[in-house]
Amino acid sequence: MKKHVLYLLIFGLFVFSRCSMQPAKPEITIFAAASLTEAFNFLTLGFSGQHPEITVSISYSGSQTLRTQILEGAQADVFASANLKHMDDLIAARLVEPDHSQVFVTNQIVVVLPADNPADVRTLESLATPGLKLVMAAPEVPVGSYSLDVLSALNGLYDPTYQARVLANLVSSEENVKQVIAKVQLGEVDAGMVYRSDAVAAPELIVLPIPEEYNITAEYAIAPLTAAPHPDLAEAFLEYVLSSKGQAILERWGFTPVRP
Amino acid sequence: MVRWRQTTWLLILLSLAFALLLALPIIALLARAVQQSAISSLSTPATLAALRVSLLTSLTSLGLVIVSGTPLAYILARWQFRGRAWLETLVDLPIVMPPSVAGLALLVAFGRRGLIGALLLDLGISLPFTTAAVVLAQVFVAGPLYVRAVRVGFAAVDEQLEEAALAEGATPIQIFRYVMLPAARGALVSGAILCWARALGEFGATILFAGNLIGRTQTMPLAIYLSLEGDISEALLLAVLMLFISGASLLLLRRLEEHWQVV
Repeated sequence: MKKHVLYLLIFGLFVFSRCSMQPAKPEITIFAAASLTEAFNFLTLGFSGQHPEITVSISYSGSQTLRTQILEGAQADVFASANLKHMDDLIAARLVEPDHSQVFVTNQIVVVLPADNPADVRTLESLATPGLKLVMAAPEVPVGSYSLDVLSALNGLYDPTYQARVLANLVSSEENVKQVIAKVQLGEVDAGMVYRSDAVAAPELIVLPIPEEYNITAEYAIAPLTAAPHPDLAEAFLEYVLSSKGQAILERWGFTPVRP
Repeated sequence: MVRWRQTTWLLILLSLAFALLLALPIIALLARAVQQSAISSLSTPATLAALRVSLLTSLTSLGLVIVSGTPLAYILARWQFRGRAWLETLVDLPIVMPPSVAGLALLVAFGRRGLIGALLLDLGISLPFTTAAVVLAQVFVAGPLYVRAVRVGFAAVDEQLEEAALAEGATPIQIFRYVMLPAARGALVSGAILCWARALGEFGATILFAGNLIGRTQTMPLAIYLSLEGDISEALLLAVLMLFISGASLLLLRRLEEHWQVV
């Protein structure tokens, strides 16, 4: 009787391992910055239309999380980072060929407010009003460090204490940009600093733009990984992202294409 | 005889596989931490702040849980009333609930758009993103462990002890203080340690409901998670520190359990 159970167990393990070793269709795994979520979901639809034989699976998270996962040996074919720094870390670790990484879109920072604007924010100056609740991404997250750069640039527009006064209103440093958006959507905070593309994906929120001269340009880099299980599929996906179709989809979601 | 031996080996093999699965990650964590030898990051302000927030909130939570959880455990153990089974299930629910569900539930209850939170806001109280929110999350997630342990402890006390004390003219409060508490002290202590250790390790509900701000709501587990993204050696060191705290509290728990059983 016990032997039967054991055989069943071994059989189960066998079936399980077969399942994970031989998927029905070749599968490409993409690690993409959280801010790319909506755009890449759409992009994948288009890509699958052209390549119905390929299954695309995407893992979205903060670029810094994905970078750490790849450094620790996670299997993926393509990495799309919201800044160059995390890509450079992978190049330094020889997980990406230096000349294979390329910038595929750029993005900028905006301030978003809940639809009913509970703190009655009218200008960027109101972000420094004592008692306002502001949420940003943590400084380790690309959008978090970009947001800090923008605030310090805005010191030049207002006064040298501006950044410090705004940061006094910070109630949480989130782990990725989608967590920032979620807190604003829930109405738990008065303002959040996110990418322009995130604001496009959350049309119910009020957007407070940041003047061009004080804003940053976030360069998004994409590259196949040297240890990619499917280098040919990775190449095909990259090609699609940089094609006019792929770039048009990215533009529709608020990104600035590098190939107009 | 042969059959017996086969079964024995099967038992040993399966148990070993399980024990190894538990031991390997812990060994790897210690080995990697030693390898990266990053004792210096222990003294960074952010790490110290996380340690302070963690100790402050977990001890506050424990105090709150003991004060209101002990009477609840007593009522659940001794009183018969309609809906008792429901109440018991309600108390056990957070133990099996994913912490992220707990965090979301707390947010829609106590957030400023929440069921209670909107009323609190009218009184000028806003809970999310405060140290109080960390405590609330810990009480919600860890408190039930204490209530459960103490309820079982109270239920195991011989009812005749209480009846005898009642016959001697003791008041209910005296019975609770001089009969129930000493008789169930083992359960009280082990429940408290379990609750504290769980509160110290709370992550999911905290990051959702209380957010993450150094010195205010960033506890040790949150600091570990976020330092993973920047400096992995700092994360490793914090992780080892947490491991030692958890290990020590478990050892203490075993010692106390043995001690109470002997007495």
